[in-house]
Amino acid sequence: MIKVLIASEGTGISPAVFEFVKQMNAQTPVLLAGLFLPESHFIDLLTRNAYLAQALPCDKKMHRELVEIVYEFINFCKDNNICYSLYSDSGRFELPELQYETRYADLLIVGEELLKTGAAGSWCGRCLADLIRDSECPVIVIPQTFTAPTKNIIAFDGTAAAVYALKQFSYLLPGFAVNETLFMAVDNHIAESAAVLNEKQLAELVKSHYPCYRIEVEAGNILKYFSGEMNEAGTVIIAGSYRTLPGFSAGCANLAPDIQCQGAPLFIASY
Amino acid sequence: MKKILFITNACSLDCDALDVACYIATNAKASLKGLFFEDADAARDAALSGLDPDPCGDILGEPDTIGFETTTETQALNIQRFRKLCEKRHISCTVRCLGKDNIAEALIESRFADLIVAGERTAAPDEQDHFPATLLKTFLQKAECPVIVASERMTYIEEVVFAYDGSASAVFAIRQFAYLLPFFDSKRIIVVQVGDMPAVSYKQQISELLKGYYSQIGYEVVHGEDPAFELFNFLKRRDHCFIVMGAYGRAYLSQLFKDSTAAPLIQLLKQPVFITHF
Repeated sequence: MIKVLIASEGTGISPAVFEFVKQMNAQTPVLLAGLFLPESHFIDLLTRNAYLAQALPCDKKMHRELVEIVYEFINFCKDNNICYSLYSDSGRFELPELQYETRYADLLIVGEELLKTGAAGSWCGRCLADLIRDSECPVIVIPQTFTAPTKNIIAFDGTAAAVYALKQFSYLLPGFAVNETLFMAVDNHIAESAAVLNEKQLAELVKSHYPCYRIEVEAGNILKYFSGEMNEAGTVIIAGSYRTLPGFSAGCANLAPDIQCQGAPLFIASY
Repeated sequence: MKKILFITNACSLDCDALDVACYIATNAKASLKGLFFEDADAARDAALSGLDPDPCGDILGEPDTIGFETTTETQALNIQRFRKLCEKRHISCTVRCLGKDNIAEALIESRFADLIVAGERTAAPDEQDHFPATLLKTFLQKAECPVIVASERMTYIEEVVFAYDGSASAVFAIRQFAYLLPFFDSKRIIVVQVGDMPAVSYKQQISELLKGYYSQIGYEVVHGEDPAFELFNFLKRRDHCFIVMGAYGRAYLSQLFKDSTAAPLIQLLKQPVFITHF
């Protein structure tokens, strides 16, 4: 049974996140740990100074909202026979505590609303990069609308990070790993070589984890799956780190571009 | 099914480590890839000195070393033994030979493997007396998957000991162990931490994580000033256990590997050690 941490900033958990958890639980039982924070942007918390205790405002209205969301969470778990635990906070929360929670979890699930900035509807690239950097377990971002996963697309550039991610995905979500899986060579500046997709080692490894895999040697632009240009229902995208995604600058989270999500959950494991 | 890499010196097959690799491959329904480090000068060797006459006698049958007098022939014989044992235990296997200095290629192999099993004697031919030899040390520091160092055959595992210090590295090792070796789920688990704290750090969180994988979990704080020494004392009293540790080069393990007046502490441990880094 894997421990899945689900984070909410106090405004509600997206039904899509609940739906994804339900599907995961149907494949492999999960222990769902709810982390409920008062109204403070989750990502803001992650990106602040790690050593300062955060004094977050928490008035009666916020408290009521938190209680409501906690009840919603409990009811969801009971209705779907999902084991759960709760972590709530009444106004003070320190970043190290949050990081410790990801240390002791197998997977962190966040709804895309936590990454959205303004009215544009795109994911904040920097927030995503910060989240991945600070989380000590793999992260999956769930869009507000998506179809049940039937296909995996692995953004692959031959790096250690990309291989690490594909291994972790298969350990944590073996029920989804048996779906049709496409290894797509990504066209980015850190890709060692598209030819790496032909490596015998890759085939030796993936055949044991992804029984229905296909390798696309031609370098493609994985972002097309986010922009909607190549929108296939039921797709999950797996990447080694934000750097595996084309357009994200290696080593500099500030330059990570915003990306638009069109219905594909994104699994990222940082190496 | 997972992919396990078994690393050995082609001239001196580490049969104890191979036995551990086979035990794990069988239980994890994994395939085994033998990575044999060959001596580049093998072809020039006229005779083989110091060949163990009975390296794998009890698990592979009596070895036929008569007539295999050159290093090249011994290497070929060891590869044959590896294949034979895998076949006998119904484990799917492949073999790759690498020059003794081709560590870079071996590390790429580790990227595409789930787990490495190596013997404590995994060393290039000219480093057989050193522990840890450069080869093993490099894998422990740079491998891109967890490494199991095995010094004896695995007959029976009674408990799994998690050497825990609350670090990201220690918890990462615990998680990877649970993913890769799930068949130990019915064993007794001991989470041990060395220090002057009243209870293990973040006990509630680690307990919640472990309960998903194991049913019998115990926690123990060992008081003392020297973590490596205290941990060693704790471990040496236990038989039939599997040790799980965080990163090589930090905390306990770097101290366990330090040369002491007698021998590095870890060399004295007979239990298999699972090591990974975050």
